[in-house]
Amino acid sequence: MNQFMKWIEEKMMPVVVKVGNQRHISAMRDGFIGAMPFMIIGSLMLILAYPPFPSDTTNFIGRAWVSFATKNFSTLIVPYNMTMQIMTIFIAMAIGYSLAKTYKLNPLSGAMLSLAAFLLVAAQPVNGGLPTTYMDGKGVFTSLFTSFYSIELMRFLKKRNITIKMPDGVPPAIAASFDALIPVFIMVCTLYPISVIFKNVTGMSIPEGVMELFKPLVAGVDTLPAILFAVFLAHLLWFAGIHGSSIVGGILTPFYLSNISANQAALEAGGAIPYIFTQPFWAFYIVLGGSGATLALVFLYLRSKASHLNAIGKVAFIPGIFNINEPVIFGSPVVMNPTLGIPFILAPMVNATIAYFALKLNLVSKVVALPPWTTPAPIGAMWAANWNVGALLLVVLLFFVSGAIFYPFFKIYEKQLLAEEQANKGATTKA
Amino acid sequence: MKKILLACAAGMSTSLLVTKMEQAANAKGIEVEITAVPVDAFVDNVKDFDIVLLGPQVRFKKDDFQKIADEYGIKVLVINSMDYGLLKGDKVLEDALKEL
Repeated sequence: MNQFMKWIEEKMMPVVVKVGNQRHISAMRDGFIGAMPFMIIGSLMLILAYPPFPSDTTNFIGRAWVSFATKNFSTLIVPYNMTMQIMTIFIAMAIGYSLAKTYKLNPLSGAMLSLAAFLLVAAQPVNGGLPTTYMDGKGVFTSLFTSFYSIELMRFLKKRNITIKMPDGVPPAIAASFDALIPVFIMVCTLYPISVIFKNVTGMSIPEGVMELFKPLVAGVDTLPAILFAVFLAHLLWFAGIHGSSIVGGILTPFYLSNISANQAALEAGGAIPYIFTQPFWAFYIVLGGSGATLALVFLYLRSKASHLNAIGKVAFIPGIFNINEPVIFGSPVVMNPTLGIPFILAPMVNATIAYFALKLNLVSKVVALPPWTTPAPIGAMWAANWNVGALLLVVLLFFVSGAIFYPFFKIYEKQLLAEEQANKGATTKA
Repeated sequence: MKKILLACAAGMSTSLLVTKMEQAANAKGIEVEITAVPVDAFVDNVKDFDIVLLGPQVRFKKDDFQKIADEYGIKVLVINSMDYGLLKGDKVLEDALKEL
């Protein structure tokens, strides 16, 4: 165990510090968080246009809703169209804003420049309208490049102090008003020709090309081995006391968004929903109750005879319903405790496997909406799957499966604690 | 009045601790303002506080944050993980006040 701790501190921590503090990754994560409310509310609005009933439902309310939604589809879908479906607009701005801030550049200028860069390559007008084709998840990877490029350009120009030289006698405020033009000018003069040349050479627009480029990676991430690897890594970090899900999740977010967006497009087109791995899949199936899928463990704690575990069960119960479980992780502790560490890593991996096949075999509907991750898992899972009852049943199943995995380890640990409590009691009565 | 800033990944679990710390402060009659934020809000908030406490799960942010906080002469500390897990508001508050 000491060997392992040494390895963590010496080998793993430096990498974690690098990744966790890397400014582009941080800006990306903060940017996604900034854009999240629009995606959450947009995906909530999806239910208006897609009632959670089969089209041949015999339920009275269901039939009324389905026929209302079919008649007014183009009206009902607009709130979703103007929020979630153009998510990349918000993401491009938010990433530009966050990254500019880390360089102490004007964040609003950064946000606008980054939006302009994205629109310039990804939304060239068609018949007088801005096409929204790449403003959904298909544009996410492109927006990372355009946002990073815009802000790095701003930074470069500022660092090199590249400004327009004005003759003496021109008031400084007037000179400064021209300085603001330079980043925009250079951004347009570099990105637009690249976009035109790219189109001429490859026949694809830049976002199309980027999607082609990322296709194998996107497909690779949506496989069981990749999911298990991500789950394992996140939980190993948690075992070392580090917020694994924020590190791993930060990198996975562009994939999550591009996947969920493709799923929504398939829902709209009436086709088979393609992707399994999305953020709600992680939050409500893999780690229900918080990292390690500890909700069932909290229930075991509540009935534990060991007073330490019982006390944690009491403080951790309500947060656990909302998928927050730091009291369990640091209080039990799970951190650096092999007895609880084994099921803590194992349970979410088993959950991931079961949920993967349940979705793959279409026993449970795939994710098309994006609830906040703090939604209680049974509700969150149903909401994410457009109110599919199978999602609820899957959560219940995973709750019991993770409970069964935790149970023997919980018993061993409880026994250790009870022995300690007994010894302490003996010591105090003697004294 | 002293002002304490707590930060963790999403500002969720630290907000649990804030409640406990406020209760402890009330019980002891200590006047203190305690706020929890996600780590991405650290830069915007740090200058308005007297001390910063990080959740142990984001301790990898400490060195970077300390550099920023140094500009204002503010200390950034990592909360003891056991106190954090057991939500020992009184202990965390006491330790923080000692550092001020």
